[in-house]
Amino acid sequence: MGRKTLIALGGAFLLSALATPVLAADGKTKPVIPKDKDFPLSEVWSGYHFAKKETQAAQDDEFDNPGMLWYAEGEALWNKVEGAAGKSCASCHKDAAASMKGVALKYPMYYKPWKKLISLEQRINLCRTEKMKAKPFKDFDSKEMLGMMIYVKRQSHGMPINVKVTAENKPFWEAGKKFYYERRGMMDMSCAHCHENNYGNLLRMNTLSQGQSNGFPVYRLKWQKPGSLHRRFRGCNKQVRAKPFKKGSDVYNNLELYLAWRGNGLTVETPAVRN
Amino acid sequence: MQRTYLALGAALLSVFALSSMPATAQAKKAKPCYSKTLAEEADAKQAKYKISKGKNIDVAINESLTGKPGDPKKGLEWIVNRKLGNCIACHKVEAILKLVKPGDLKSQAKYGFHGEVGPELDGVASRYTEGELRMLIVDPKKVFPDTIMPAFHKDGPFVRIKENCKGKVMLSPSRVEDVVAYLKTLK
Ligand code: HEC
Ligand code: HEC
Repeated sequence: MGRKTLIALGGAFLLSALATPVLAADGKTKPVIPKDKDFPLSEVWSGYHFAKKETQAAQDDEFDNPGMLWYAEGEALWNKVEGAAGKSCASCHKDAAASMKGVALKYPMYYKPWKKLISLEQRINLCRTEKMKAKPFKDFDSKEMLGMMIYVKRQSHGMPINVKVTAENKPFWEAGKKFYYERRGMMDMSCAHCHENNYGNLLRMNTLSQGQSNGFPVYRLKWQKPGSLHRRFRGCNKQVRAKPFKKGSDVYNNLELYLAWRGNGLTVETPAVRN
Repeated sequence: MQRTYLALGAALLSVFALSSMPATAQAKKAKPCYSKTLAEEADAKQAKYKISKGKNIDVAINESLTGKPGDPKKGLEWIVNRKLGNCIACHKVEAILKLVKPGDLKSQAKYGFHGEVGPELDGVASRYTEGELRMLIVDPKKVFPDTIMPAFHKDGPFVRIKENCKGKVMLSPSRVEDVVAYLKTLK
């Protein structure tokens, strides 16, 4: 056996040792089992688990994942000077790989000046208006905001979600929970009816998932573009013939916090690929 | 003074214009609840009905909502229609799956793709009386309080219902009767 082969073998060994955490439960191939007895789910599964094999493959391959086109958009914007202050995101935050790592896990967070939750989209727009003196991105689903969200959240790719209920965020978590279990719309259904009681079951063409948020913004094959979490909330509200709320509304921020908590243990998969 | 007369005249005119507007033009203004093509009946109002005691379950609606029997052929249409009953989104029905012609995508789109959320409906007519089936479609929460199944003939109260669905029902009285008639064939 030549030296080269030995090194290669050693390398492979090292790689597989490094790769072991991937085999740990992240809700993709193995469910996360919550320790808390009162947790609403006995197994926590990512939407990935319920997706078709081809869809999973498209997500897994960094070069094939169509959502990564928006990552490139976000990366360009990160370094682009805009606004009266003559700054880019990079002027303050430098290298996103370091400064934005783990940031996705903190949102939505309690924001003192507002005395309520702030979503990551809103935080990004605050940086634009207050620090850069630039215009805010128009909509959660504008090309720019989707790009920036995917770029920033991707820096936490593979990190496990670990939302803690604290004295500060508890009232908002409670409000989100109430919303989750409340029947609404002409069809009179709650989120739980589909995503807690019926995950894994077919609903005509769709296999219901647990409605987890860990992959957002997700690239939707149906739309050929990514969609924000609040757009998904609106879609699920409209599906039951209920009047949806505005993206970035307090109601949806609270729901987002509660939903993130329900996904504790799942890893950030942004940009996930879905039907 | 002249001004007041003018204003009065204008007000009178506008009242006249409104009341003389053809009924169809007024109806066109209000958006249908969920389907343009099915608007007429889909936007129907809730009928009055009486709840009686059932045989297999506590409650039943024994009288037809229209006073007439329904048409099972139409019932099948409403059951598979995604904007109306869409019952097969949740319920598998072997009798309907049989209508899928192998290799015919159109028949598959229409009669195929059954869900797994509710129980299979084959044999449902042997488990329930006609009145019980009617009750289960009109308001299944009277039977299963926590169910996901929507009430197909109930006009509220609902939380944050879509504006143009207010005061309306998912299936009109005659459509409920058609669906009951079809379910009665599932012995
Ligand atoms: C009538 C059934 C139904 C109801 C009620 C419903 N959803 Fe959904 N939801 C779906 C379907 C179908 C999908 C697409 C397939 C899937 O991922 O489950 C979906 C997807 C989602 C997703 C995307 C999951 C992913 O991995 O991409 C989220 C998040 C979600 N729903 C949240 C909610 C929330 C929050 C509510 C309540 C406000 C709700 N849903 C109510 C049917 C429903
Ligand atoms: C969103 C899901 C859903 C839809 C749509 C739905 N159902 Fe159901 N249905 C259920 C569930 C779930 C049950 C079982 C009751 C329970 O335990 O919740 C049920 C029960 C029934 C039963 C009693 C079956 C038995 O064996 O006990 C009948 C009959 C029925 N449904 C008919 C219909 C018809 C007809 C339609 C359409 C007009 C329809 N359902 C639409 C979910 C649904």
